[in-house]
Amino acid sequence: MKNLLQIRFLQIYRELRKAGLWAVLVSLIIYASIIIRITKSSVLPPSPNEFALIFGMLVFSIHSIRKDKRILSVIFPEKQKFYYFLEYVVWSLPLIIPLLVHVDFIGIFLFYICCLLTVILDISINIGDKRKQVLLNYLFEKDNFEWLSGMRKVQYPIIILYIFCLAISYWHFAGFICLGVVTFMFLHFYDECESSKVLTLINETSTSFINEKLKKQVVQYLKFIAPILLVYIFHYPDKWIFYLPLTIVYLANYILYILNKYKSYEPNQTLRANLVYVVITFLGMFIPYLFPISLILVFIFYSKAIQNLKPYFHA
Amino acid sequence: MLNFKGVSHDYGSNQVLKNLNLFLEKGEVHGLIGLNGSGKTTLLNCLYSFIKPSSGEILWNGLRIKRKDISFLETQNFFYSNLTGREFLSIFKNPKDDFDADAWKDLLELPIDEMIESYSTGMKKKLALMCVLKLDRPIIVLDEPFNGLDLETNHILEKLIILLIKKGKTIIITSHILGILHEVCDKIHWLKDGRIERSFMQNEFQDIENQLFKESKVDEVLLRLL
Repeated sequence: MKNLLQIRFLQIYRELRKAGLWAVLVSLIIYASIIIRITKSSVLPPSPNEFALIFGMLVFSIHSIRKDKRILSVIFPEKQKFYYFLEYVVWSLPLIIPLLVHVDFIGIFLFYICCLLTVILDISINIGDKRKQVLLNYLFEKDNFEWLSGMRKVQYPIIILYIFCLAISYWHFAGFICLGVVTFMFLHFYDECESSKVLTLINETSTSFINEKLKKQVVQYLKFIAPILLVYIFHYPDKWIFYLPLTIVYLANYILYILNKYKSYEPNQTLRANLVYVVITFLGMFIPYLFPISLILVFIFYSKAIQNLKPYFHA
Repeated sequence: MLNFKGVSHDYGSNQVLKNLNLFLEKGEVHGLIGLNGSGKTTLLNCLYSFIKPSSGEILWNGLRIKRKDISFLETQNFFYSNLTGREFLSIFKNPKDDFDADAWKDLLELPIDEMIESYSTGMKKKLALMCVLKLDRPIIVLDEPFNGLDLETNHILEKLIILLIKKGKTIIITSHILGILHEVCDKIHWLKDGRIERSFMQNEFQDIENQLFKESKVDEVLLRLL
């Protein structure tokens, strides 16, 4: 187990090296910001306990779609669940240490309960059911392959989160967290690059492709989060002004991630370095003073994505 | 002895295994053949407890089989990213600690110090095979082991299977390449509609193709289509 954990650290180290110095620096800044937010009291959400719950839900989502379950059952035939738990405990240390400094034992307890439940339930996503596929085809347009394929992969965590978001709507800060977590789950939809043939199927220029793509994806995103937004605004009509900038910020992070895919686009490839950006974007959603960075990056990434795609449209 | 006793499994309304009974002698190579969808992979998944049979049980030496008795080479194997072949191999524990990775590397001509991402399909298969061998468990399950391998490695794998049998391993192989199964298997079991339709002994191997396709209407249909 020690050996595998070391190997996993090596993997992360190489992943970060691939992502580049900037990604590492931004990750460190975000991590430092989280530590400050956890260790300093603030009236703004999320509180340290809420942070712990968000990360607990994150562990649940990651566990349900991890692809190494079969191989781990071969390596550790009788201690597989113990290994999962050990891995989550080790990986969460950077979060747990600040909580310990803050003497927030409830947060730590909540987080470990989430990890324990995740490991005991050991839910895996089965994407093969035809009935679900029919429902998904009905919900999303056929050419929206990112959503169709992505929802098949993470439908259970998203459905659970969606219901959870609606269920805790009596608490006005919940919308802030839940919308962020739901948005975060959508980001994985953009890890896989389509073939260059699909890319140039309808549009003739990279600019029109990017514009069209963003329009479609944003409309889909807004349709999906609209019920949650409406429920919260209905509960707290006086706070609608709070949700407007919030939606803009989440939308900016969502667009940023789509643009990041096309900025690094390579036909038929899975963008592994995107994992680092997913974490950065996720954390960026919860750190108020990082919001403007996302907005600035949207403009930078937009032009870079167009430039990167140009060769495929002129080939 | 490996004993499948009345194993059944269904995916909703689709019953894939139907009260399947199969008895495999220890220290033999058993081939498993059948058309796509006949239940081969489901049977292997039940054997390894990836899925729980809806009824029946699988016994090894009279006791319920455990995962630690089996090493499994899958059709498509998972590899962690950003690792070299040697690093990935180091995750697998050899009980006797006598696995010579470099000797295997030379035999299989596998660049185990390069990143796995740069490997071809065949190279990945070779690495997965090395992992299986390193685990050194009494039952070895090889699901389509010859797919993607070059001629030389196919030859090595055939020799390897024979040597493993001499070491007392029990091997289960699924493959669509009957010729290779003829070479290495002691018995070949034909899986059809979730049951063992027939088990062939070595002297009956030549009859397999006739049996498999005796009801086939391929010639008739092809003539009509063309």
